[in-house]
Amino acid sequence: MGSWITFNVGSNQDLRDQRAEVLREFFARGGTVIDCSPMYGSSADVIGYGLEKLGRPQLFSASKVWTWLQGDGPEQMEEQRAAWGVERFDLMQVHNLLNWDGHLETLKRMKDEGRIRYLGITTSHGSRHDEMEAVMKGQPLDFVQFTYNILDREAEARLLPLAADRGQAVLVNRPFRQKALIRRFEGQPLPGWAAEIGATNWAQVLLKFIVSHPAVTCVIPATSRVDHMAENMAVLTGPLPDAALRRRMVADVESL
Amino acid sequence: MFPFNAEVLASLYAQYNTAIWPAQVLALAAALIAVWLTLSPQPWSGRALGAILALGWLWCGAAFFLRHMASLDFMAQIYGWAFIAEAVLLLWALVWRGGTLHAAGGRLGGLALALAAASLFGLPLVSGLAGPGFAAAGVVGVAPAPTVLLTLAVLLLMPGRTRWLLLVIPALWAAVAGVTGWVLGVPEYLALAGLSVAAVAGMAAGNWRAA
Repeated sequence: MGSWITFNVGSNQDLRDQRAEVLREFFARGGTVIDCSPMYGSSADVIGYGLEKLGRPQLFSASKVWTWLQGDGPEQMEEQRAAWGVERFDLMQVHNLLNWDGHLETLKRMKDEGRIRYLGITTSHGSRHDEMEAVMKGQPLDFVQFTYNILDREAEARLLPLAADRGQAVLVNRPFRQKALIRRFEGQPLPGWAAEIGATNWAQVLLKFIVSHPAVTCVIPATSRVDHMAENMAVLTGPLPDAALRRRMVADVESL
Repeated sequence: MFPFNAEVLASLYAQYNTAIWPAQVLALAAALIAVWLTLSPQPWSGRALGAILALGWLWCGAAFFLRHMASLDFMAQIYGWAFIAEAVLLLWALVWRGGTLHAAGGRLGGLALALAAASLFGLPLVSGLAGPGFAAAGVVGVAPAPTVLLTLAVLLLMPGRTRWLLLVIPALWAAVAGVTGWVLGVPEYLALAGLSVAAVAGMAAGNWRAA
């Protein structure tokens, strides 16, 4: 799951407790990967609060380093780690390729020292794919993160095949274009093929399209609602569309 | 675009208001003195107004943005230092240089007083009645939107070119507030943006007539 906006609730106790319930639902339905960033305000604190409240469940912790200066990176990452209350991050990513060469140098050293398990880079909104591709080719990345959804499919051309070729795990952000796709389609009846993949709402259709791509490792939708988390996590079960159905999904959705 | 939603922003304002109480009372009293100074100009009105406004901008920059808002919004650092810079500019232009103000007569004077009234009572009413409620309403001198609006009202009465320099940061923040209000649905910010357009138009019209 992602945490952009949804977990940035500051010190409001009611909202913190409510987000902890969102986390409870996430873990109860088999979720493990949580993604955050120092750019997301108080999200790291709120995630840490939720994890503590839930008794420190097993998770795959992913955060980012986001600062112009390489020298500021270690302190920022340590602040994130302390806020989450984890011993170490499973994955640390360079956010939006900001000073990626400097930060990757730091992350490689941290990985060698066992202070993080994996390292990666991120981008979003379909931007800077050329630079992303160059870094993916030239650096020993474990993970890459970028935007991919049923309408934003630029990543299919180069980034997804490249990640598969190089054995890099793929996290997908903005699966709903931050609610825009849900709003766009929610007034439309679900196509007949939705039942074939066990999707009962548009969010599940959109998520199943993403996770059915062979190169995608994980999608990180964000939500502040327990019922929406339950809907999202239902994608972990049931059939996924095959290549033929994926093509049909694209054609049908683009015609709406 | 924004790393928080309207509910969280309202919650922050409510918590902030609780944390700084009773600073709002002092700030409101200072703002009322500022309005009185525009209605009954004294030889030292410019300096006093400059000091009052600068204190408000300094407080908003340091207490609201840097201390409270920074936990939610990575842009708060920039806003905070911009507000502090405006405080310095106000001190330089009105206190150090001894800036003067036109008497609050005519259409521009009427517009300035209307904007000042809106900064004291209008924006909190919008927040209370059409927004998240009075607990989360911004108070002039300690919250950015009404402080920006009161400053624009004073700039309307200020002669010379310096007011255009003093306008830059308030106008930019009003634009940011307008976008925030539009995207998140914050009536107080939308009202500020609209009233700021009126203030800038009034300044431009006054400038044109003077020319």
